[in-house]
Amino acid sequence: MEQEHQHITSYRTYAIVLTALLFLTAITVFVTWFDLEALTIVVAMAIACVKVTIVISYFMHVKHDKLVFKLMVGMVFILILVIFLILFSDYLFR
Amino acid sequence: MENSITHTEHRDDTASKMGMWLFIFTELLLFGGLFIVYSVYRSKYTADFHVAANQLNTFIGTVNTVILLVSSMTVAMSVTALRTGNKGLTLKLLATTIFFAFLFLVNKYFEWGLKFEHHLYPGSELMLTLKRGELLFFGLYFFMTGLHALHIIVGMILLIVIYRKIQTGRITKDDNVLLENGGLYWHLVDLIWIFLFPLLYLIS
Repeated sequence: MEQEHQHITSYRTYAIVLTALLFLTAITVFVTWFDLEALTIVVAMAIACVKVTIVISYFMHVKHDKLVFKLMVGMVFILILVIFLILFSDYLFR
Repeated sequence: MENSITHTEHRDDTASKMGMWLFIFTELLLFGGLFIVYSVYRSKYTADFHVAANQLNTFIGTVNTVILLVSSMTVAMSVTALRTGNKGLTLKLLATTIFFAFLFLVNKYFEWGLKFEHHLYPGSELMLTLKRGELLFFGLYFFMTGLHALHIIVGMILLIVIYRKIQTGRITKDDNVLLENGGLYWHLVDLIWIFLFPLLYLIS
């Protein structure tokens, strides 16, 4: 039986990743204390995207996974982005 | 022994992981659709959404975010523990994750309970007197967090099943794809919450 090479992430890496995620969460909450109006949602979404990328890369192991998984995950997010863009270009300019 | 039969079970870890990912994609698109509904109504009723979001408890939302992030780490660590052959630690980390999942639901219970006490629930008389945008916000709030909570319950059951299988030796150091897939599902629940939290709790 073929034995696949398995990448083992260290506990330390996970602890660092969690710290980063908690730090980003703190920033998101902190930013809402100031009235940045339209910018608030932009900042919140930008931070959310960074957090999602970190979770997918490290917690979900995509960073050390086979190329096919990287491509699959990438394409789904591009698909979602395209759906949003097409929908809003239609909705906002009709 | 010449008459012995060696039975090699067919196993394809890559395929089973791919299957899990495909399922996760359908979930992402399901929630993606809800995020589209949210975005369109938010752009249409921006002021109402802000007023309505003010009534949500940011503190409970933040606590639940932290709970999910920590539980995501513990389940990721359990994979490492199993692969390095530390079964005891794997079980402890999984139990911690399940406990956090339960804690999340307890918080959700109190959060929703408080809303119900204030007569805020889908179809209540108070809801029907609200402005259209506020009504839409609360409708989306209950539906999206409700669907998310349903995923938490499913994830909890899945992790309990995996816990039992590790205990009885049906998931081992060399055959751990089920734990990995369970972990992936749990991270999905976390991913969705990462977007839900700012969109619902932080826009006031």
